[in-house]
Amino acid sequence: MIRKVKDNIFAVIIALLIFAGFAGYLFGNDGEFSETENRFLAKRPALTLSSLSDGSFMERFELYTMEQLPFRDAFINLKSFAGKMMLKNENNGIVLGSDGYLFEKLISTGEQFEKNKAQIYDFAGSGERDINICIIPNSCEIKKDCLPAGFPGVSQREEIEEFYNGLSAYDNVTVADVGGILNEHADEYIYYRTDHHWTTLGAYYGYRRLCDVMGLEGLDAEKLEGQKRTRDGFYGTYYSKYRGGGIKPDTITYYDIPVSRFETGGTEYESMYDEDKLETYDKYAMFMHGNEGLSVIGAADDGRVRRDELILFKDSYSNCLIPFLTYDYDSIIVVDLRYYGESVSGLLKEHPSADVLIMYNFMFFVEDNHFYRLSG
Amino acid sequence: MIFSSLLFIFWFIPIFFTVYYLVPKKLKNPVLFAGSMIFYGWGEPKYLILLAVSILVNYLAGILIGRFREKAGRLILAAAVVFDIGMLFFFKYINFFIDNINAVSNAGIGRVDITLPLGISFYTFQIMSYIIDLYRGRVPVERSVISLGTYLCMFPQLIAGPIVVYSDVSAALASRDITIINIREGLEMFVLGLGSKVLIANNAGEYWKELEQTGYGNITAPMAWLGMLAYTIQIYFDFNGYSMMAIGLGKMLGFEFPKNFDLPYISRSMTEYWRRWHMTLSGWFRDYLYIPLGGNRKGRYRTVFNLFVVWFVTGFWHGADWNFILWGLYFFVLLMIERAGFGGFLKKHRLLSHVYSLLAIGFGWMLFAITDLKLLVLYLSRLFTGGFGGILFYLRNYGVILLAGCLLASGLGHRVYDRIKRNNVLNAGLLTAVFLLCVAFLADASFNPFLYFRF
Repeated sequence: MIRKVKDNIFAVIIALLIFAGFAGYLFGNDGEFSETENRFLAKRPALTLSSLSDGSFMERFELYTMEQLPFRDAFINLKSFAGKMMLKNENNGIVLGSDGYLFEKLISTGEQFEKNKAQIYDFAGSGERDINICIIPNSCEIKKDCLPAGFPGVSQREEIEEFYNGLSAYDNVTVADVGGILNEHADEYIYYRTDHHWTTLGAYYGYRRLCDVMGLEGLDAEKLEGQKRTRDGFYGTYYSKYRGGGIKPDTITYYDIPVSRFETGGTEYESMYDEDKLETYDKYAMFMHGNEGLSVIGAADDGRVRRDELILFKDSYSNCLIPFLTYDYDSIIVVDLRYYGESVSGLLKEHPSADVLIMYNFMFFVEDNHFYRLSG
Repeated sequence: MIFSSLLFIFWFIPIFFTVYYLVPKKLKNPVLFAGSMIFYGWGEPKYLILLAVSILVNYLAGILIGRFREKAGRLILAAAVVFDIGMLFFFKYINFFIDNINAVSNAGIGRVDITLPLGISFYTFQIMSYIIDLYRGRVPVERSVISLGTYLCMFPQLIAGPIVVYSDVSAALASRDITIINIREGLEMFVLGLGSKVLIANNAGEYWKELEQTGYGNITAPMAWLGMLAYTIQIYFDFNGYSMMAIGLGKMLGFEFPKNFDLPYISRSMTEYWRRWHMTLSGWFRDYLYIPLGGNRKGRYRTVFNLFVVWFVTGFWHGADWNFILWGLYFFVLLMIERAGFGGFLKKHRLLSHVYSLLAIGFGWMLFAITDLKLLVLYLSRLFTGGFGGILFYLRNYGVILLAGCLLASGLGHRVYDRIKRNNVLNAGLLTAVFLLCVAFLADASFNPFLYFRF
């Protein structure tokens, strides 16, 4: 008898694991939201005749088995650990460099990039309006000293340059090349180690470059020292994909800048910052209260002389840069094309004398598919 | 549904096997039949009807052949075979022919909007083995449509082999014993197969995918060579992993499926390689194509012609595209050269024969993997003219897994594992670790392809 149990010991273990997993799915509570991944998880789909016949039940059920696996987080960490044991420094497209820096690898640009460039060219050529364009390189392009040996991928500098060259045909376009100034400060903390964004310091250097190019007076950050706030313990999106132990968290810095009005997604707030978000995983979402289709910011009544209006088309990189711009414009209209369903040409007509700035980070510019809305 | 999914492991296996083991003997076939239908229909329910038609037609043909042997039987056999091949032709090859006719003429025929039914190449060959062997008098008429249906769509081998001919399992279909030893051995085989697919094939394959994304025009020579190695590792561990899982599940059901791979990469010639690679497929072509054509009994020229046909069809079976035909004929040429005397030379030179075989296999996989002939030429040219560099990052990330693949494919892993198996606790620890790692990689899977959708 003992002999028999011994022979079958592994079969018993595996069978127990399989049935335990099954029971976990059946009786465990479905997790609703994954903080580390910052998204809602699929729940067990309801079985209906129509969902069964069009196959959507099967698809959703498979997704559910992926996302509600019992001990999913532990398994994901196990995978990361196994990768390390195999000497890998990459997991899910995120690569570990030196000084605790994580980088995103982009092997090639696809058709979407070509479309996006064409849509910007179309937009530039469609009107007399002067526009400013800024493509922000990502950390892997600037923090070269921290890259691991042989880090592969497209040259962002070359791609951005080529895009800017294409823009030189349009007299109404001014480009704000921020790559140079970021390179000058490459050894500073200008990108998060564990997140895909630039830090507020990086954004500040970007802001200084914008000021030069757009002829803005600009504000010296030294004047803001007294309003500086920081928060430690920030793990960003790169970390969510890379996972595993031994990675230091980031620090978020922001300046307590007053505004006379801040409205985003149809709601008014006292402050541009949502400090409640600092208590959650997704701390970067504190800037601008996250991404909304339309936000309007009125500068503080401090007697400073500013330009009238700016219309800014942007992704989340801009969220930590916008506060600086409140020293240069009375009113900033911020558009996130992903969530903006109204007509862009209508908005431009409503504000005929506003400055226009299009500012995106490179990876977003390569992959996002909402630029067609510029011509809407 | 595919084996290497959480859905299969944590839902299908516990539910299906509980029911299967609990029901009385005479209900086991119907339960297996129904379970297989759910397994197959999960992804594409519309093609269940195709399976059902195939079962019914061949079942009736079988009954009729049983009743009218001789002349009429021959006609019925011909009709059934034409039907089976016709279905395969229509669903798999019609658009290939339309494209090629359009390319050489101005016919402008519209393409037919069909997706390839999962596993059609496998189950067509399986059902043909029944009807042909029946005509030859090697197997009796199957009078139970459930039994025949169970044979044809049994979920372990339905979508990716091994190709189990009817005579292999006809006895077990009628009556089989399920023992603890079978379940244990089957489960062990399943876990090892799962590890082979999820841990090795998927990880090695990620590098191949990366080369595709980089674009063959941008890769260096060492990157291209590493790619050839990675694909060679990926396809073996993927395919063999699938076969092992199938054989293991079959064992757990009470069936004994034939071996499908026998360390193919240790071969010292292509002749040997094809005795070790996808053995059930080469066996099928030998028994149901090469020998009926006359094999080697009709003179030298006829033998060469027969081999040409077999390799042409073998290539074409793997996918409806020219590169697969090219791949088949590539082996035909190599086998001819070996027959003409090179084989004898290889026997005498141990090291050289291994180098030759591995290179021949690797080049073959490039023909297989790259469908577009222009891209294929580009890739092959990179092997020699791509310049150096760009390899460090990839060596670090894929070196260990590729090395592990090489060691396992060399047979070393088998010898070590045989040692480990002697100690039950060690074995249990190893298999549990493999299982948990597989779950971990499936839970965070960005890359888990099913390679046989073209077969």
